[in-house]
Amino acid sequence: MKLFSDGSVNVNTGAADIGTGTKTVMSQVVAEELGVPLEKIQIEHADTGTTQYSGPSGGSKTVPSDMPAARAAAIEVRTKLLKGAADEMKLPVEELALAGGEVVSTKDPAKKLAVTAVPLLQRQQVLVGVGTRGPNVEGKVISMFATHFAEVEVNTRTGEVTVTRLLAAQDSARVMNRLTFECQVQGGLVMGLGLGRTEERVLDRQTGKMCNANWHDYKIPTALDVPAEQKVHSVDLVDTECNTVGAKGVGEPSTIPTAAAIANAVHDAVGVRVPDSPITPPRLMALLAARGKKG
Amino acid sequence: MLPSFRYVRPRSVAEAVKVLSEPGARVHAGGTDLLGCLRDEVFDAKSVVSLSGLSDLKGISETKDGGLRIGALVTLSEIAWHPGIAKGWPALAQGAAAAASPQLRNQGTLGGNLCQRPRCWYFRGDFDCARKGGELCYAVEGENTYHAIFGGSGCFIVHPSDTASPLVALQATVRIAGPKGTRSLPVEKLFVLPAVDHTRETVLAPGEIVTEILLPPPLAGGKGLYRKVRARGAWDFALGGVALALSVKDGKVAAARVVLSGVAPVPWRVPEVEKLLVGHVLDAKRAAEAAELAVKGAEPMSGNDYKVPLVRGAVEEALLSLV
Repeated sequence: MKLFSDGSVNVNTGAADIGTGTKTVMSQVVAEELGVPLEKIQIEHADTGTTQYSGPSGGSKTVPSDMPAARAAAIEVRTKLLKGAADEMKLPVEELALAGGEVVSTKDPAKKLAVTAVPLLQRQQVLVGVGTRGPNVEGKVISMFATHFAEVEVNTRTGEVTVTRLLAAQDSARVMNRLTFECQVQGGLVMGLGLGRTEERVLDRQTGKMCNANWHDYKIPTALDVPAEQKVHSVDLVDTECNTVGAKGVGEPSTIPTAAAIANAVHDAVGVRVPDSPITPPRLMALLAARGKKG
Repeated sequence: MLPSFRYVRPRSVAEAVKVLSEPGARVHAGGTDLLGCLRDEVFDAKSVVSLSGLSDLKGISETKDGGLRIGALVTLSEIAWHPGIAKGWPALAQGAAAAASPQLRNQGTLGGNLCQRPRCWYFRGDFDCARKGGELCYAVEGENTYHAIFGGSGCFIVHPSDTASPLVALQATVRIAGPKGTRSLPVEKLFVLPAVDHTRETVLAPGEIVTEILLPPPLAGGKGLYRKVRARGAWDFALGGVALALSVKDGKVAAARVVLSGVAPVPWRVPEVEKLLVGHVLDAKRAAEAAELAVKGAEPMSGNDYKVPLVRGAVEEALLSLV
């Protein structure tokens, strides 16, 4: 991480943002540590030629793995900056805080110095910090949890299933950003709905070729398949031991329980257990008809 | 990948017919099916003949007898949103609205919807299937969830159109222009069963195109609908469906046409069901009997026996909704 003499920040990280809000959340972490506005932070990321190492985007771990590293880097920059400011202001470093692009005395707010006026930064033009994320606390297991609720309507004449409502409740510990959190869980629900209702790979048993390798026959949900009412609730449990930002992951738990919740709702509605996904009219109709025959 | 082809945009039906009579010519109306087939290399094209310059093939107008003339290039959206069609011929309006997705309905035409190629994944995919001149119908021993339970032999496609069954139910006529002049056929006679020829879906000869569809006037006391069952809410072909056109007089069914979709290589009319309905009050008991009769004689394959109860259920539900 680099703090430049104009007060702007560059973060160089391997972490990718595949639409999950990595850049937004990382900017928040850095802004909080360095007291600079979000628009002063540039995230330079996910380029194997120029950026630092990070693990892949997967395992619901970008926030809990990469944000503590960003925070550690920011703390290193902050420590250097405050030391430089303390020398200039002739105050003990413990007395100083960063806010709004300024170094301020916590005892006497009148005593302050713009970040860009700290001589160390002016002299060097840049302050560099490097942060890493070490192993988890020994003996501590860190898991996310989620529960999904589904409400369905089943047409028992045709096997058609309409998902009328979905609700996700998720424990990701600290939610770093409400909007990106909710959007990601909403997206997870739709992916889970696809598994539960429409998406299936079909292989021809004679040749091994895939029958439905196109976007028509492989059916991802459309807007008409997604319920009008789809709500996301964060449980907001506090976990101060999981890492230095107190946040666990988001992605996978938001898509794991959905299909099972839909299957349970179908069972609750019509008393039939569908052991395979997705629950399509062909599959459900066959089971409903078989039950009808048994009487 | 798209093949290299000559693009022709004739200014008259006569010119279109002439260029379409040449070997390797493919007709382009909305293009929603043609381009997919060309890109997926289902078939080749030496020339693509666009009908977009033929204003004669556009527009919806009333006929002298109170019926309707729909140009072959009228889009499915135009039909779905046309207030007169929704009122007088609801099965057709609902069929057009049930097809594909909004974008495809804006582009796809009625003529094209009737003449589209099948959606069987063996026909569309990398399989040398019987319909493409190969030896086998792969569906017989393969993945036949979406295949025919009626009318298959040597090939087990289902007809993909959502407007064909309503048009058969409504006793529509199709007008055809070709090298030998024009001719008219009931829509019912447009389609070809695999037992007759498993390599084509329509009776259109080389160079022939559909120019318009004629609907007879609505029946007095007429009721109708199209019910489509599908695996997802939009952009999906029928797992099974039914088009109904009934007329009711003095509380009894005076006339009935019942045509299934998604179950056979052609729109599948069930005359026995029509006979069962005519002359009787349509009540829950008769609807159930009619639904049972609609699937009588079905010959499901290894993976599509669900279609029997599904179609029975859809027919019963559709009839009950008209009670």
